[in-house]
Amino acid sequence: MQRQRIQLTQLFLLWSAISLVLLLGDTYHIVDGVRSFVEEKIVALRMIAEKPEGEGLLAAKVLSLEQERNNLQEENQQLRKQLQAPLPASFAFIPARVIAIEEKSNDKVMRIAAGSKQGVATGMPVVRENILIGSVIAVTPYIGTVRLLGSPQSKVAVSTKIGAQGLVVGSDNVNASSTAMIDRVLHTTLLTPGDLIVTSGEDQLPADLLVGKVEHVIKEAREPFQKAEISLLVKPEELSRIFIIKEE
Amino acid sequence: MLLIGIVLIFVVTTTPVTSLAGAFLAGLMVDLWRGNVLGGSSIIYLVIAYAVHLYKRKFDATSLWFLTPFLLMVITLLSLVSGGRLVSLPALFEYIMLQKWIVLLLGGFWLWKRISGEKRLSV
Repeated sequence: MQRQRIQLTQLFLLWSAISLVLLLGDTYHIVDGVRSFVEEKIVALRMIAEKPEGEGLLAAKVLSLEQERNNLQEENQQLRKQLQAPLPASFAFIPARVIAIEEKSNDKVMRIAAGSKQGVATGMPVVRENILIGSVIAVTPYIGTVRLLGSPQSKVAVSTKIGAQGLVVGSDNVNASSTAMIDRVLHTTLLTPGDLIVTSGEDQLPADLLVGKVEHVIKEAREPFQKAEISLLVKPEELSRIFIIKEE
Repeated sequence: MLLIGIVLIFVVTTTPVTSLAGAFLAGLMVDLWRGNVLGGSSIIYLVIAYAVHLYKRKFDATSLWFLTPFLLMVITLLSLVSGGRLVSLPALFEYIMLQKWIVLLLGGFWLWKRISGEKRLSV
């Protein structure tokens, strides 16, 4: 029994040590080569799941080509839309496909098929046309993690068209990915349902990106600030492709 | 959450050598799939596996009386570590739904053990 316990502890310590080495290696980008090789395959695998299956090889090839054409058409259309969006010319856009959306009670993130190899870095804003979706919080060679605006951990400095300034904080309701709250708005400023909310540009995000629309204003005389429920302009789960803004 | 459940079932039904290697690999796959820093999930799964094996020495770890509260404890601890709340309704609901899968997995394991046991007897 004693020998078994020692063996178990030894094994546990051995695997833990390997995990720790990996953890440190990945943190300091020492294992990036191996990681990017494996990740490339994983991303390809995740993309295959979207392709339809044909009966024969030829039929499969036709379907695959049709899918590719559709993808290119869709990408072209979205790029045109993106370029027509009223955004500064100094912005460069990195297109990326959405791999998955993960919603937990304390965070809402989107995994995208673009990482440091495509030029994505942490802190970069993610948009669709001129609507803000979130910002990149982590990158690996081929996968990026975007914290969505609806996440309780997301805080974005915003303003309304008439100048009311505040902070948009996500909701901790798992099923409400397209709602958030605007908080810290002074009582002296006017906030009305229907007001459009845009980024104020105070927290490293570009100014004037659309965020959402005021739905319901909550005013309490005792509180120094007023807040409001807002609906976000895009539902992340409906998106298949997004753009990461890279300022040149 | 379901993955933690699967890892737990795997750990209680296999030997320490297999389960620790399995926990390490499962963690590695999770980190690669989610784009997290490699090794983080492996350490969590290894700690779970180690704790289960220590318990297994004296008690029956395949019992639902152990698995249910242990899983709730692990999920709560992980939620706390990742900055979540101690008890949140969506997390609790997800946990209750998970129990169904745990019961199914354990049922499958029990059936497999029975069938393989019968085969051995017939030999």
